[in-house]
Amino acid sequence: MRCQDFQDRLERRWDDFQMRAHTEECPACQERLALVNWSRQVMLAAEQNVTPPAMAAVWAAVRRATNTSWEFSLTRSFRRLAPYLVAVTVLFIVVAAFQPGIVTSRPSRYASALAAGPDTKVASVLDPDLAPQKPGDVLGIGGR
Amino acid sequence: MLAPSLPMSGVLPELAAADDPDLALVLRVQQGDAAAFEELYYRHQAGVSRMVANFVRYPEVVPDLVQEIFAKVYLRFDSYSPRLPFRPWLYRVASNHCLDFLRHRRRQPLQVSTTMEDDPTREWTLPDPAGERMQARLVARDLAGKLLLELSPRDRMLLVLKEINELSLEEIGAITGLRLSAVKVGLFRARKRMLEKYRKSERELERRGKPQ
Ligand SMILES: [Zn+2]
Repeated sequence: MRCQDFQDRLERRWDDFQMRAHTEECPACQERLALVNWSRQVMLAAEQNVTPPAMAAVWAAVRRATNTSWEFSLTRSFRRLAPYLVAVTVLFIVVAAFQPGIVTSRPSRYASALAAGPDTKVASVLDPDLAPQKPGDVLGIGGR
Repeated sequence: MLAPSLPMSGVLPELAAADDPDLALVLRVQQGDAAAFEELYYRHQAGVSRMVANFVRYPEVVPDLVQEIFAKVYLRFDSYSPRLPFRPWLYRVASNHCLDFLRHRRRQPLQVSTTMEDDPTREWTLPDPAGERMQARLVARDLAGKLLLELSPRDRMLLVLKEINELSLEEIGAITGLRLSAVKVGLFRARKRMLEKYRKSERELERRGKPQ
């Protein structure tokens, strides 16, 4: 019998004639046998016995785990989305800042009205205040 | 240092799921049969509780851990594939859960728990690799518990699965993700380390016992 076969059988808790014969002639396996027996005894001495929980407690744990996993996945989804939400908001603000007529609508409107010159129709549509009293009085200084 | 979580994949060819005595129940649970899950629980509650109690060694948390393990298993049945028999899969979930627990608790000092066995004066013979006959008596089982606690989680897990739960080498391989040869070597080394720790504690006792 080879030592490897002996050790394999030993771990499988075999005990046969071949093994006993082998230990008589092989000190290494004899030592191994003693080690395995000793550690088994230590394990048995150290063994703790406990009463398993009741089935109802397991179902309660299932319910808790279900709630926790639902809350967790919700939080996790939000955490995943948060950077995108921030990015989209920042992008919106940046785009809006450069878009005439969205955030800075009033100055642009005045500017375009001024550029429109004496076109009273355009000016009055944009802002009644800008409608000149008479042609050429775009800046409202005509009556002076 | 704690071992990393055990892998959740990998099947040893030695373990055939077709022979799994739990397969019929597992399939029923996957169809939503709660009674089948309860039956599986009654089948495995004692084994899992023993494994958890002896691996973690905090008796006060064992019921909670066992409940959480079975809840996890119940909620993960969708992802369970019967390529691996149910028992090793269950113990794998249990092992990972215990490792997580120990990882969270590792900063707290370990306590040596006293078992509830009614034979506190068990004695055993120590092997003597050096050749000289040596006998020692371990009066308190706390010493045995202490020896087990001083091992690394990996060594302790191997010994608990083998000696307390009496699982086969193949099942231990499937639970730990180790090859069969690695399981055997791991068990041998775990035993050696336990013996070394025992000898060290004996020397320590001897040293303290000597008059100054
Ligand atoms: Zn040999």
